[in-house]
Amino acid sequence: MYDLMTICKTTYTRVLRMRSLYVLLASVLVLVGAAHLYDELSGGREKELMYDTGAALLSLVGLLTALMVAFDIARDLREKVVMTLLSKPLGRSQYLLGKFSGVVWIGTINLIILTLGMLLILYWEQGFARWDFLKLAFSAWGTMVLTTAVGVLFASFFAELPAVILTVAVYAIGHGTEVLYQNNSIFSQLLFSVMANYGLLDFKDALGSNLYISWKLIVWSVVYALVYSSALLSLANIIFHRRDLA
Amino acid sequence: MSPSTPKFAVVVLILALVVSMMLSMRIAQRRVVCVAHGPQNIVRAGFNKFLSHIAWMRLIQYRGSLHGITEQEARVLKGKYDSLTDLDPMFDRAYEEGALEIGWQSPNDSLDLLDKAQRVDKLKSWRIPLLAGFIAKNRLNDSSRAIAYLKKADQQPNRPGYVKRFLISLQAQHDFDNDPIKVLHLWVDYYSGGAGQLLTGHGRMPMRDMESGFDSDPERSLALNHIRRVSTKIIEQSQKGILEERNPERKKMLRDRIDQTEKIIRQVYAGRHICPQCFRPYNAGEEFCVHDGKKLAAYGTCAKCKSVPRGPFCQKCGAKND
Repeated sequence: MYDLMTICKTTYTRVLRMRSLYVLLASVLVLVGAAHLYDELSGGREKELMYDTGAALLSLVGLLTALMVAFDIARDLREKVVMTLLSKPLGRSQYLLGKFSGVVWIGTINLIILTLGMLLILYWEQGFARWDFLKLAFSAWGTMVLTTAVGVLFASFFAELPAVILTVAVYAIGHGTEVLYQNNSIFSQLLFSVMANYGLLDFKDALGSNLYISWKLIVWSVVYALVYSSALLSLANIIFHRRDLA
Repeated sequence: MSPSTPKFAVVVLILALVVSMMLSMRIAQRRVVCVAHGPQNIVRAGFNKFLSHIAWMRLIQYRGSLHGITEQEARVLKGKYDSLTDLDPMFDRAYEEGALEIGWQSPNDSLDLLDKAQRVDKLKSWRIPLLAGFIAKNRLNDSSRAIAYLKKADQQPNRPGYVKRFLISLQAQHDFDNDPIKVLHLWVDYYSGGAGQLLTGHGRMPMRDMESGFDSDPERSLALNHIRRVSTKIIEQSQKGILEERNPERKKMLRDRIDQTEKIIRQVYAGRHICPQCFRPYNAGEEFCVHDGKKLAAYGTCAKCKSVPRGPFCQKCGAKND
């Protein structure tokens, strides 16, 4: 457990030292806060624009943070850093889980900063607290965890670029799997149930259109993301254990 | 299984996969009833709503660059509105503005756009079917289609009263020649707040409104005007028909129609004395209608001096009245 925490902390500290990250987050908040200047350009829809842009940026920040894991593990493997690390009393499982936890940790911090900033901006601009944004933030956190697990899986047996491309591809395809669910054939339904269903975690359209989404559904979808992530991490673990790192 | 394969990971993989399969089906089942589904569900990696804002702003710029809308430009606009509403099927303003913009040049495309909006399960707007009805009637002169749209508008929550009036007006225009009594009943039902309400006494004119003959509720007052207008038209046409008609059965049918109309109007005024020509109530002692000058059967007058007594004895001649 101590080894796992060390890897996690190292990953977290390395990302935290990147000052560009804070500049990026601040720019994002300024960009969303300035959306009220778009009143003429958006034909009077600046409030909706502000909310939906904030929601989209939450997803984007979650995705970009999750992609770091694919870069990080693949780079460790390419530069043989992993050989040095694994020569110490550190298991391969701890290494993968440590990397995963570190990125999830930094992703959580990013999302918290962004969510608090967005809540303040929305309160400032719209005059009332948009607590439903917390539902979006929680589902974005689930999405980020799932994407990190996908990134770990691909990074465990691919180089940086293919790993990142495949992670983005799974992210994009995973948002459209509801079509398979709506198809009544058993094969489609089976395919739907084994795929990474990002669509189940996406409530941006519904909440942006003022439809009611219960906390219960949000929590269940995040539970799904955590369970599916553990399946992906187990698979990554199995592949990583069988891989010849020399 | 290779000795290097961690058994714990295999167990977790199988368990987590089974649980996630069950969870995904369960969540999808619950999610389907919560989120909106349009006829075209386009997926842009979860950024649909954000991209729809960009498409909307680009569309506003494009609209600003047009000096007038030709039939060709109307088709281009239709395509742009289609793409926009594919991204955000709940964007009601886009359907409405799009339909209004192209409604004159390309009414069929305009109705296509509004039909698309009506296929979005979570979009509950009375304005969209009302607009479709308006375009179907005024641009395509298709009353049946317009009536179908207006019936949908009339089922939506928070609709204003004029949706129903527009619907009944269209039905009246459409059905009057075939069944004028049915048209009269439509207005009476609207006036009395539902089918059959008048006979139970719920929809009758309040006593305080009897004198003026106008209902204090503006909606009901408008309906009352329509009832009078339709009744007058039925009686005029029937009387003319009786004079011209030679078939005795047809004459009898027309007489029955007059009787039915008079019966309905008497029910609306709950037994008040009404002018046989304009169907407005009149007061005691009045011998001619103040609205159309028609000779009336005066009532409530003193048997001796014909003035209207204010008590059991006439204030003018002292005669006792019952």
